[in-house]
Amino acid sequence: MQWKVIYSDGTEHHQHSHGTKTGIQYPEIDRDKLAKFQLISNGQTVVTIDLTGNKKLFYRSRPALSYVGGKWQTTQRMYIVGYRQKKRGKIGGKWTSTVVTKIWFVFESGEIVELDDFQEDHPWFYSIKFREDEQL
Amino acid sequence: MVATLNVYFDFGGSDNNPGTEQNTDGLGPPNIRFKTNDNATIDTNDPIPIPASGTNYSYWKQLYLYCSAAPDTQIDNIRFHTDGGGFGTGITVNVADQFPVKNSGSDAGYDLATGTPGTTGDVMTDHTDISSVTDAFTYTSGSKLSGPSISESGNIINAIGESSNYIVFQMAVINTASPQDLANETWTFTYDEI
Repeated sequence: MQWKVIYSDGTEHHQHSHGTKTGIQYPEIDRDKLAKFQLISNGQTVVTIDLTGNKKLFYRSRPALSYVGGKWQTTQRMYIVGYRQKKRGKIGGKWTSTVVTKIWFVFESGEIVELDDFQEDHPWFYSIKFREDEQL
Repeated sequence: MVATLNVYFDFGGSDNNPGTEQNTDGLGPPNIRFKTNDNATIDTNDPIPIPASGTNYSYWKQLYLYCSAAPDTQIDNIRFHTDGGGFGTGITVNVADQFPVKNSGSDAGYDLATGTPGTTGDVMTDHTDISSVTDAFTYTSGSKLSGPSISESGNIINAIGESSNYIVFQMAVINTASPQDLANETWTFTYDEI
């Protein structure tokens, strides 16, 4: 699974490839220009997320490491992509700020689960630790 | 690039200065064996005797995740879990609630495992940096242990040679246990990578 970003000016940047020495690293994403984030598997787009409107992107892969067949190895890997967005609205006549979260959990099997929040008691859907550039 | 983490076991040497940093990959299966001695050898020497009363312990085992191929950006949010099954009546494996310091620049959390070979290890709370323990098999896929923590710069792993802090285990045996060569158990670490 690889990712690609599309900026508001239409330019596209793929995840850095060590083989071809092209693309950008995750911290190099220009979040001010970010319009879309895509996950791509075998040339096919698996998920496209719209990131306009001050949505703060986050992305991780989450491997499971177990001792199998005489060595420690990754037995499963899933991908987490989503955003958080601060929204203001009136509740009971008072202006209030709320945070909207959307998360897509993408398994290598092709299954995609969309949630509005992390689930701490789930084997896979528990929270990430947000980086500085992912803070609202 | 996808990172590679290996599970290492430090043993021997002296406090704050392990004698051997052992990659457990080539040892098994199984790759870790609880015994009443401080080594990484997978054999039937130094078993834990079943006591008439009280508790006999294995020597504690100080494990950590070691980065042998670096991620593009970072690794963090390491968690540990078991299948919840356990080793049976009278046998417990405890995991420390604290994660003694281990990183690419420090072994400050390493305490040499001590005890009487062939009889019992010293209880894990004798470790300088460990004050409490939990039954490791209470940590399951839906209720993971959040750790081992990371004390590298920025609390992330992002280079070859960096590691997690120690996650420390010890087997405890009481008189209701039966003599046996225990079946293998599979443990799992998950982590987040960019």
